[in-house]
Amino acid sequence: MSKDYKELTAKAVQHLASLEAVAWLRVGTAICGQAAGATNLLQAIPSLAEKRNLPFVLSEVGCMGLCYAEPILDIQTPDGDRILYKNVDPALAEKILDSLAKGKTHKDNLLGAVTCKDKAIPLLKNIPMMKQQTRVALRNAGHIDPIDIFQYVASGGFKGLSKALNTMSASEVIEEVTKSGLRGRGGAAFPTATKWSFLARSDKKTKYILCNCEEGDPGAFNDKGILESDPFTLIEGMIIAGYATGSSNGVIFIRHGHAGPIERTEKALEACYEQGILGSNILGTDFSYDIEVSLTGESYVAGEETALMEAVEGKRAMPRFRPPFPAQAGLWQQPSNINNVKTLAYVPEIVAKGGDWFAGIGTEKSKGTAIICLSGDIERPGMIEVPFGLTIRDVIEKIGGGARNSKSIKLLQTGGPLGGVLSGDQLDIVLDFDAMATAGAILGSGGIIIADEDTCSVHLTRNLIAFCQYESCGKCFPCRLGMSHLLEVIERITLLNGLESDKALMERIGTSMQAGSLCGHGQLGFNPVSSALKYFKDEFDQHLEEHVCQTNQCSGPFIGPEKTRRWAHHTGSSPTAEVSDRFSSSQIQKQWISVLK
Amino acid sequence: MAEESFDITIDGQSIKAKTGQTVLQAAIAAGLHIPYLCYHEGLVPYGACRMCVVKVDGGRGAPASCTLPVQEGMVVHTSDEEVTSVRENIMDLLLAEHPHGCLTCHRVDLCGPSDICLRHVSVNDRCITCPKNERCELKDTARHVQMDLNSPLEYKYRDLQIETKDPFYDRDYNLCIVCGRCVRVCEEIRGDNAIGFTERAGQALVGTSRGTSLLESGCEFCGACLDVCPVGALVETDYKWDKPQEVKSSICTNCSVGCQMNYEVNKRGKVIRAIPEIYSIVNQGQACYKGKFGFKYVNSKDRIVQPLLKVKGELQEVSWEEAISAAAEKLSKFKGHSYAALTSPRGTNEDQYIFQKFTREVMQSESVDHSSNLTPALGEGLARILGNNAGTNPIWDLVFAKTILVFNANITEDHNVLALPIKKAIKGGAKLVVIDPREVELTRSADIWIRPVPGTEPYVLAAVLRLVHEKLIAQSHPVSEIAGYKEFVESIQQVDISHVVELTKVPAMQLEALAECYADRSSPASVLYAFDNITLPNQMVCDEFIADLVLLSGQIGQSGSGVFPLRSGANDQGAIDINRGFTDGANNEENAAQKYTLLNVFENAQKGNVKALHISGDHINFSNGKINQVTEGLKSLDLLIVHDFSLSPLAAQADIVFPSAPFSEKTGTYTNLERRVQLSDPVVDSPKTSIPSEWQILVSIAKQMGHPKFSYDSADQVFEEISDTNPLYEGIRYSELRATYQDIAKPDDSLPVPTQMQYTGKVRNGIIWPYDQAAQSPDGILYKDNTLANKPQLAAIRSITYSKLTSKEYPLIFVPGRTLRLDEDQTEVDRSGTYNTVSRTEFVDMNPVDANVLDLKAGDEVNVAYDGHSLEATVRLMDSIHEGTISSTTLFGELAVQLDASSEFDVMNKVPGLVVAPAKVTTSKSK
Repeated sequence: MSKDYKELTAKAVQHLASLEAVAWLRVGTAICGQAAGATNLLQAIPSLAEKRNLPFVLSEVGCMGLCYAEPILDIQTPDGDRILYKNVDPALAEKILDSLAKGKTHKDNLLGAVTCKDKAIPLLKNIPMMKQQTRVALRNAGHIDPIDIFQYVASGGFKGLSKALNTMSASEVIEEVTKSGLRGRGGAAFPTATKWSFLARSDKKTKYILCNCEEGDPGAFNDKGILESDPFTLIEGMIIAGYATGSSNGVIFIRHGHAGPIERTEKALEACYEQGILGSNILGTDFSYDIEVSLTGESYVAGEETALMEAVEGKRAMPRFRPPFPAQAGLWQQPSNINNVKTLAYVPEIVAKGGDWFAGIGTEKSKGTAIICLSGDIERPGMIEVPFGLTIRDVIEKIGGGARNSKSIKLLQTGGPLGGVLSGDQLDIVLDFDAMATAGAILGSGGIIIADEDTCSVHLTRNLIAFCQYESCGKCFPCRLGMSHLLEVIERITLLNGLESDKALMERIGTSMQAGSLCGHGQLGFNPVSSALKYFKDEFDQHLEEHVCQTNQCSGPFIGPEKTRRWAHHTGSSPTAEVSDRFSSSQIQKQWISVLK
Repeated sequence: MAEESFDITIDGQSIKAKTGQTVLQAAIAAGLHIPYLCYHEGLVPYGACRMCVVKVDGGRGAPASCTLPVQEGMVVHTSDEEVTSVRENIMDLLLAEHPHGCLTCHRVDLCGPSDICLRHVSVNDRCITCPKNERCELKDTARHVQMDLNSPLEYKYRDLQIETKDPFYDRDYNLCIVCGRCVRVCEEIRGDNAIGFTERAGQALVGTSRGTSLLESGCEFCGACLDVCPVGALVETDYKWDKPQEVKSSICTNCSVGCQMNYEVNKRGKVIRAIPEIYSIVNQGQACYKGKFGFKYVNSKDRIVQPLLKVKGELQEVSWEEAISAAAEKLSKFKGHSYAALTSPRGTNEDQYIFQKFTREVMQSESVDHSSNLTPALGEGLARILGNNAGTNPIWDLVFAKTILVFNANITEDHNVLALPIKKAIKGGAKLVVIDPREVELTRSADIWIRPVPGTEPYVLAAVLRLVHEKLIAQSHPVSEIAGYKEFVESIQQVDISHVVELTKVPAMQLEALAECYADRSSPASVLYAFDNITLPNQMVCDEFIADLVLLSGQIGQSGSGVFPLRSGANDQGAIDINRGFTDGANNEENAAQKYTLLNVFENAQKGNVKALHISGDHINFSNGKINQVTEGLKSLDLLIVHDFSLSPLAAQADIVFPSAPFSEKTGTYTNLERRVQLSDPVVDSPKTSIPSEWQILVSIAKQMGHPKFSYDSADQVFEEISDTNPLYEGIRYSELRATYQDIAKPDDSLPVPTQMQYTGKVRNGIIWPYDQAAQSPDGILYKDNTLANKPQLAAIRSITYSKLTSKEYPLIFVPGRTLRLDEDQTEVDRSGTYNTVSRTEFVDMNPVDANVLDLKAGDEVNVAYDGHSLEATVRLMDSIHEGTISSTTLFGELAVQLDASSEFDVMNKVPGLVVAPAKVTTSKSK
C-alpha cells in the first residue's frame, strides 16, 4: 500500500533501476505475439541466458501493434541501448543472446531501436509503420509489463490521477476534458465531457462508470490490445472519470473468451488495490472508488450499452429501450455512463498534459488520435494510432504498406460489419468523424479490413450479413426476422439462384429494419447490403442476371454462421405455401368471391 | 409527485395524457388504437414487436409508442407512410413463419366457423384449426392494418414438436411470435422465471432452461403465460378447441383470496376457460393453478341434479317437493342439541346466514360450524385483543410493507395470488421472514427462514414478543400506556430467551433480527399466518401472541402494517362474520357445552350427543388426522342430510341428498380474506333442472316445518337482512355492491387486443367492511385512527403447551416440504407415455446425530413411515436439520401431474397440505 503518489513513484524508480541494472529482455505476449510463437520464445529464453551466464530480467509485454513483426524480442542493456528484433524464434534468440553475451549487437532481423549509440540501426519510431503514428493511448503498449504497476508508474502512470485528485475539482476535470475535445471512440463520437456532465448532475449515491470491451467486431482488436498491453491506462482513466462524475463504482465489461485481456485486467486491478490506487481513500485522498471486471457469454449485441447493462446484471444480453437513458437509470437502475476502452485510455494523458495539448492533435472537430486495426489483404497488418486528419490512403499505403502482393484494393470494410463497405477508390477520405460520416463510412470500432481484387463483393456481403444475423439478440422483430430473411435472400444470390426481384426485396426488408429496430444492430444491419449495392451494383447484377461470379468465390460452401430461421429439417418450403401463393392475389380472390356469391 | 395531466395530439385528435404514461398507454386510455403485439397491460413495456411505431413531429425516426413517454403538446401520427410500411413489413416477416393459410385463402370470407376445409391449406397452416382462432391477436392485427397479404417472402413452417405432455396446458412453439409476454409475466409479475428465451437471432424462441419439462422448470402452473399469449402457442389442454359463446364474470371459490375471473362458456353451457380479470382490484389479472384450471367439476357428468332419498337403504331420485317434505319431517324429530350443521366454505354469505338462522331458529341448536374450520382458534386472539377476527388490510397493501412475516402458512399453494404482492414487496426491497419448519416456496424467497423444531413455534413468537418489547423500551416508546400492559410485562418476563433458543434450535440472531424489524415503527411490517401445524391448544396462544405483537409494536392501522389470518375456504371469512352476527354480545358460555364444532361433532355423534347432522359440501378432509372418528360418527347418526355437487363418499352415506349449485350457477356474496364483500352472478344456468341455492332449499324446509317467517324471494333480500342485523355488514346492499362495479372502457370488439382486455368490462370492486358510505376513497384499512382505542388490551401471554409429537414407536418428526424447483441431481422427467412424470430419487434429510443412532450413513436406502404413509428414500446428512427431525422436499410439478391426472371430483379443493407428522425410519427391506 502506498500512502500517496510520492511514495508510489519512489517505489517505481527503485523497481525500474533494478530492471535496468541488467539485461532487460521483453517479449510481446499479446494474442498476436502468442499466435506467432511468443510463448515458445518466452519459455526458451531463461535457459539460453543462463547458459551464457548472462544476468537478465525477463518481462512479458503487450502489443506494439506490429503484427507482421511478431514475435518481437526487445533487449535493453544496462548501458541504455534498447534494440528490438522481429520474427524471433528460439533459434534466432540463441544467436541474439550469443552476441549479447559477447557485448555485440546481432544484426539480423532488426526491427529498430528505441535508443542506440550505433546510429546505423534505424530508430523504431522511424520505421514505415511507426513513422506517422502519434501514440497517446498506446504510449506504453509493448514497452511495459501490463501487470507490473511500477513499470506503469515509472513511465508516468497515475500522474494524471494524482493531479486530478490532488489539485483539481471534479468540474475542473470535466472542463479539461471539454477543452481536449475528446469524443467517444465507441462509434457514436459523442463528446465525452458532455456525457460525463449528465452523470455528474445526478446526486445519487451509487453511480457507475462502465467500460465496454465487448469488441466483437471482426477486424477490431484495439480495445483488447489496450487491455492486454496497458490495462493501467484504462484503470487510471476510469478512476479519473469516476472522480469527475462523482461515481462510486466502475465495471469493466469484457467479452467472455477474451482470455488475455481478462486475465491482465484482473491482475492489474489487484495490483491497484494493493497499492491503494483503488478502494477507499485513493492515494491518501478522500476519494474512494471500486472497479470490477464483469464477463458475459459470447454475444455481439452485449456491446450495445443497454444490453451490456443487462448482461452485467446477469440477464440475457438484450437491449433496453430508451428513455430512460443510462445517465438516468442504467446499471441496476442507477445512473451510469458507458465509455469505450479507447476513450477512457486517453483521459490520463489529457489530464496530465492538459486538454489543450490533446486538442492540438488532429483536426478541427476530431481531436486527438484514431486507433486503427488493419487487417485483411494488407502487407503490414497491425494496430496503429495516428492523428486525425490523415487520409485512409496514408494509413493503408504508407503505414500498412498497401495491398498484399501488390494487388489493387477492391474494397474496404470499416468500423465493423455494421459499417458496411467502401470501394477501393475512396481511399482519399480523411480520417475525421464528420468527414467519414459524410462519405458514408464510419470509424466505429476502428477496424479497417482490406479486400483486394480477388474478393467478390457479394460473397463478402453475405459473410457480413451472416455475422449480423447470427449476432442478432432476437428481441425486436425487425432485426430478428429481417436479418434472417436478408441472409436467406443474399445466400440465394451468392448461390447464383437469385431472383430479379431480390434487390427490391432486400431494400424493403432493410428499410424496415433501419426504421423499426430497437437498437443500432438492427438499424445498421442493412448497411452491408446497401453500401455494397451502392458501390458494386454491377457485380450484384451480374450475379442476379447472368448468374455468374467472376471471382469464383460464390456458389461454394460458406464460411461462417449459417443460422437463419428455425424451420423444418427438410430444406424445401412447405408445399402449401406455393399453393396459397398461387391463389392469394387479391384479384383472384375477388373473382372467386364474386363467382361463388 | 402529483400526476400531471396534459394534452397530446394523436392523429389530429387531442387526448389527455398523464406524466409517466407512454404514448401507447395514453392512446389506449383514450380509446384510440395503435396496433401492438408485445405490449400488455400490467407488464413493463418491452419495445420488441415494433408494430406500434409512430411518427412524432419534431422527433427523430420511428419510435415505438409503447416505450415513448408522453410529453406535453406532443403531436403523434400513427399511420404515416413510413410507419405503415414498417408495420406491414414486420407483419410480412411474422407471417412468413407463422401459419396463416386461412388469411390468404380466397374462401376466407365464406368459411363458417365449423366448416371442414378440403381445400388448399394444410391443417398445420390453417387458422381455423388453431385453438386461438377467435382470439388471435396476430390474425386480427393483420386484418386490422388492412394490408396486402401477398408477401414476397418465403413461408416456412417451423415443424417443431408440440409440447403436450405437461399438465394443464400445451405449448406449440410453431405458433410463437417471441413477443416475450409469457417470459415477462413469469418474471415480472409471478417471480417464477420458469420460462425464458432460448437461442438467438432468427432461432430465438421461448422455452424452459435446457428444454426441460415444465414439471422441473419451476412452473407453478398459474396460467399467467396463457392469459397473455397473443397467439395459439400456449393453450389450456382441456376444451382446447372449444369456442366460447359468451364470457361471464364471477368470483373464484377455490380459496379465500376471491379472485375475479371471466369464464368462457360454450354453446352447450359448459364453462371451458377461466381468464382472470385484468382490472380486478383483488387479483389484478392473475390467477393460480386452482383458479385457472380447477373449475371443471361444474361441468361434470357426475353432478347430481335431482334430490336423493334413502328408501330401504338405497338412495333414490325423488322430486324436490318429496325431498323437502321428507327432510322437514325427519328434522322435526331432532330439534335441540342433537342437531348439528356444517356449512360449506363455498357457501355464499346468504347460504351461511340462512343455515345459521335455520339451525338456531328452526332447529333450536347452537351447533353450526363451517366444514373448513380446522383451526378454530385462528383469529380468535385478534378478535379478543383487537376487536375483529379478520384481516386488517387489503392484500395489495402488502406491497407497502418493509417487513413481511409469514408464520406456518404455505401461501404460494394455499392462497397463491396473495403471494404476488409479497413477491412484489420483496422486489421492492422488503424483507421476508418465514417461521416454518417446512420448506415451502416462500422459504426460498425469505431473507430469514426461522426453522424451529416442529411443535415449538409458539416459543419463537414468545421470544420475539419479548425482544420487541425490550427494543421498544430501549427506544423509549410509550408502550406502557397500552391497556393491560402491567400483566403483559409480568408475563413476558417469564420468557427465557436462552431456553427458547435451546428448545426451538433457532439461532438467537434470527430472533433478534425479526424483532429488530418489528420494533422499527418507521418501517411498516405485516404478518400473515395460518396454523397448518400448530396443535389446537397452542393455536389460541399463538393467535394472542400475534395480536400482542402488532398491538405492542404499533404495526397496525396503517398502510403496510397489516395482520392476516389465513383461512382455507373461499367464504370462511363470511361464515365467521355471519356467525358473529348471531353470537356477538350473547352469553355463549352456558351453551358452549352443547355447541358442537367440526372438530368434535363426529366424536359427539359417536357418543350419541348428536343424532342429526346436516352437512353442506364435501369439504371435510377425512385423512388429515385432525378430525377423529368421522366414519364411526357418521354410522351412529340417526339422520344425515348432505348438500353436495356429486354423490361423494359422504353423500353416499346420507339419508337425504340435495344437489348443490356451484358458484357458477348462483347469485350471492362472498367475503374474502381482506373483508371484501364481493357479489357473484351465475355464469351458466343449472343443468337440466334448475338447482336452487342452498339457502333456498333451507327456506323451503323451514316453511314446511312451520316457519313462515322464512320468506325470501331473492338472495338480495337475504343479504338485506344480514346487513340489517349484522353490524359488520351494515349499510352494504346489493345495490351498493353493484354501484361499486367499475365499467371499464372496453376496446371496440373489432380491434385486435389481448384476451384479457377483450374480456374486461365490469370490475366487481366490492365493499370492504366496515362500510362507510360517506368515505370518498376508503383504503380498507382496519383500526385506522382511533377505532383501535375502543378496547384493545394486551393479553398476558399464556403458557405454551409443548407436547412432543413423537412416541416410542415413532421417535422422529417428519417435515414434508414442497417447492417449485429442486437441484438437478434429484430430478428427472420421464417423457414417455401420455404425460410427463417426475421420477427422482427421494431424499430424506437428517441430522448426522440421528443417523448415527439409527446406524445409517449418507446414501443408505431407508423407509420412512409416518401417519399411515410410507416413503422410500435415500439418506442425506445435513447439519442444518434439527436433531429428531427428518425432512423431505417434493416438487410442485409432481402435485400438478397428480391434480391433472386425477379423476376425482373437484380435485383442486383437496390439494394435500404439508402436515408434520411423527415418523420412524427403517432400513429399506429391498436392500
